[in-house]
Amino acid sequence: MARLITWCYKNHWMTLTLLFAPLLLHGQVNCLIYDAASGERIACELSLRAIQYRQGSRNSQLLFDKAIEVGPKFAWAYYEKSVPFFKRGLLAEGVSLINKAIDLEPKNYLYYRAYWYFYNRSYAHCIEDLEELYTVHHESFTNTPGGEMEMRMILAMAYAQSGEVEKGIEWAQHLMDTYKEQPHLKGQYDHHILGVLYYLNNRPLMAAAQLEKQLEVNARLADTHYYLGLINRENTNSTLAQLHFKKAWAKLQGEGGGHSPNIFEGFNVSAQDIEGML
Amino acid sequence: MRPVSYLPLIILLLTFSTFACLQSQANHQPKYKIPIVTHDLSYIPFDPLLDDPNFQICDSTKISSGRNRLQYAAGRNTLRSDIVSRFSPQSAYESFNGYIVIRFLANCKGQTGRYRAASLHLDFSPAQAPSNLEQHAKEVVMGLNNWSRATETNANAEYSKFINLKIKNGKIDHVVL
Repeated sequence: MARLITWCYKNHWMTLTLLFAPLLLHGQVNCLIYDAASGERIACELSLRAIQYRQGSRNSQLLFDKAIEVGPKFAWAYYEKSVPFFKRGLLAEGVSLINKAIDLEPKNYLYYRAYWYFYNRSYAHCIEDLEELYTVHHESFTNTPGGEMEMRMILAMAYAQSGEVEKGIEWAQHLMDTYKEQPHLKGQYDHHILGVLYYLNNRPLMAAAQLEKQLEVNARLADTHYYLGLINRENTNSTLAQLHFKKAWAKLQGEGGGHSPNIFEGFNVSAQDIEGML
Repeated sequence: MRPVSYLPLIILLLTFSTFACLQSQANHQPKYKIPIVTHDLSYIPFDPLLDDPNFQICDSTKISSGRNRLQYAAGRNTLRSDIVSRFSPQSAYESFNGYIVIRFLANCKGQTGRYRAASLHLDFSPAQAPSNLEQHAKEVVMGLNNWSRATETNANAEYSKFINLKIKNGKIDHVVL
């Protein structure tokens, strides 16, 4: 028990993530909210059986097909069936399914289509979906499918990738403002993303402040050190810049759990980027 | 005073409304079509018109499909640059903005096969790529043979892999991995 407490103390971010993950991720449905003999209830129960099988397996797909047949208004079946299609590059089939889920329950499923648009760099469509989610449906908090960050950070990065960095900063700040009353919701990468957007917007002091805050929250990102290196290099502080570039290199090699998360697609620092600075 | 006959007017209105209704049905493209697949989604069935009959899959129900399960031995950046350097943009491709997604399998003998290509608009709806763009993109990926099972200890493991080429004005804008 003492060992467990020590581990939790040392890995407090991991512990908090594990504790809150069930609340933050889109979880399973509750079939009891549907009338007992309704198509939705039967579809819901079939879908829960489907996810007992390996995702994308024949049995899983057949049960989802049956669920959609008996309960065509049960959105979760379309969403769950779409997941393995997207993961296997069957994007037309995946989007066809998620389109139907969005028609039925836009507030619950727009985020998922937007995530895949972002990952594949279809930024205009990503922005369209997330603008609708937050401005039309007034969504308060939705994480990425993997739970890495709130979707407004994805919206902020999509705007920045489309050349509208200022608008991206506004959305990122809009999210960060909500943490004043709910600090436990702050994401693992939020300060980093806002810092990068400030950097792209030629505001190096504000960028550095956010990136330094990121190191307090989660110092494992190679990317954070890389951008701090760039800012210090431009500030002619080459000694500190080199320290950060070396740190970025070490993190990219995995030092202390270091990495560069795939979720930054489009912003990821590469080995060549860092090598060019050393 | 002669009574006004409304019959021609009614016939005219009915004709217009029927035409408008037919037009509306013709324009209506459903945004969804439920894909029905009766095999494991990672599997790509044999097509005699496309595939080498000597390429066999050992177990179609146990194909791994994780994004990084089958890796390019020289790394992701080299994979991207190898694809871009082998791709030959042509003027006939310039009208195309969207994706060409190439999927394939690696079998238990370490061979690759069952290559498939699909053209998509930026909203992922099916598209028609111009000229031989789709075929050329597929051949570029078929020409890569430097795959490794970096994350798998089982030497007989089988994989499905996909590579998404984002095309802008007929050129590769980004290789999404």
